[in-house]
Amino acid sequence: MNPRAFIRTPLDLALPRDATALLLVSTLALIGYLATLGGLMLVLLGDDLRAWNRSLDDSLTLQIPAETSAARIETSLALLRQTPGIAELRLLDQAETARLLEPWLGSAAAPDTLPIPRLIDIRTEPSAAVDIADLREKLAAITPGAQLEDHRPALAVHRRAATRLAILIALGVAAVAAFALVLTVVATNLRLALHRGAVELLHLIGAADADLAWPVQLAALRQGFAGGAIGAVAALLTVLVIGHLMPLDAAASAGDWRFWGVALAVIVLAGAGAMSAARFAVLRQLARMP
Amino acid sequence: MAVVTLDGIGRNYGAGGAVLSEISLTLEAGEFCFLTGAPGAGKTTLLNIIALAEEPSAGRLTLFETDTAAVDRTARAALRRRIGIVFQDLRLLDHLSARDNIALPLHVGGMADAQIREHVGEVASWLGIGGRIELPPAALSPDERQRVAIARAIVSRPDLLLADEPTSHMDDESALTLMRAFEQLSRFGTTVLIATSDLALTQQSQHPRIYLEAGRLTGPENGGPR
Repeated sequence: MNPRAFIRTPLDLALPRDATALLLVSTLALIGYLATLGGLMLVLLGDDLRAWNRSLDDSLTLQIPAETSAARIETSLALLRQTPGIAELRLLDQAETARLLEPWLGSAAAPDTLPIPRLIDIRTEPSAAVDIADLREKLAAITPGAQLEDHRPALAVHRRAATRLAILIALGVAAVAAFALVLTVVATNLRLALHRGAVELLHLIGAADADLAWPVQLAALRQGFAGGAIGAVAALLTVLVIGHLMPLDAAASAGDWRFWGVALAVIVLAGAGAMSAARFAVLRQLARMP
Repeated sequence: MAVVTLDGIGRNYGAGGAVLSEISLTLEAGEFCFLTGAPGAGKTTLLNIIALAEEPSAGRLTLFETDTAAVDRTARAALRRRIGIVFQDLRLLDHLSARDNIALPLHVGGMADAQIREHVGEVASWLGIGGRIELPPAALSPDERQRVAIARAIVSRPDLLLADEPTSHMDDESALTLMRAFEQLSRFGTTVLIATSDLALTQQSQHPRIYLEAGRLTGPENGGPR
């Protein structure tokens, strides 16, 4: 095919621009916006999940009553060091523990005014099968009142919730993508109806179906790219502004290539999807002609 | 070579009765023929069937020795490109200039722009509208619009020209001039079939006439059976 014909075909002449172009671009922009937001939310959700995993997945906390003697604490530490699957231990000093409690107790949580328990941060080896129940019993035997907290059950709940949310977002993105395809088919049918005389004429003077479909496809491709680009850029700006105003652990950043990847994917898919849907619509219409 | 062969062609629209019945006819290359009959006799329907714009309800249509029912859509499009059509309602595209209207079949045929300009200029001059082709159809007189439609039908030098009342908007002198143009095309090898109810026009010509009456072919009106 002539490269120039790939961009613009002579049959474009017969099918002039009309209001369906604006309708399609603006609606695809809205859909592109929602799809990009959905994609970016999936990226951020993935980041959050990974951050939780890093901080909690391999961690346990041993809480020892405040009045426990240093010898018992040391014995507990020794037991933990000997336990298979435990990679790292750290006894938090009282000031550090007080800082952790500050959000709940305020600055009054000073070690010298309140009986603050001692905390030991325990890191297990990745995927190590530590027998938590057995360890809990042994530690309680050394230090009555010691509590070994396993964060993994709580994390599993978070993980399930986050997975459900991710599935919902992905389904939402799929739904708006399907809507975009249906909308493009409707807009193409509308366009063909507006130019029915021209389409019939071209058909009767010998334009092959594929040749007739090509200018319609190309127009849909251009409109898909335009709508997708407007929506994707608007969604990127929204997320970056929100990330700037409400910085979180997994804050949005313009330097994150994945954000640009999501935006680019939405633009490419909007163009390719609109083009395919337009081709389907025009060939279906032409098939009704003799 | 037989350009058009109709074998028992019939056409009906549901319960509305038969518009055409048992039409059998052969047109050879370079033949010039009138299709006459009263309004509603089925002339336009017959032209539409030959132009592959409408499917017959019965019978077989062969164009350029190709059975049209046995080919796919791409091949049918290729057959259509060998046919020039002057539609009764002209079917000019109002948003295009006369030049672009005339050029459409050449664009469809994939001709280069420079050649298209040359061909369109030649045909427009030949039909006496050379100075008017940059105008849109709405700015032309009915006679000029008809000439544009005719120019579009012949610009690609078709093997078969089908014209439905091609002189309906013309005075007698213009109509005769156009008949001469069609005859010239026929001499170059184009098969010409003109549907008309203008008896004065057909009587001034020695070409055979096929008469349709209530959807049936009643044979060449003058000159007896061919």
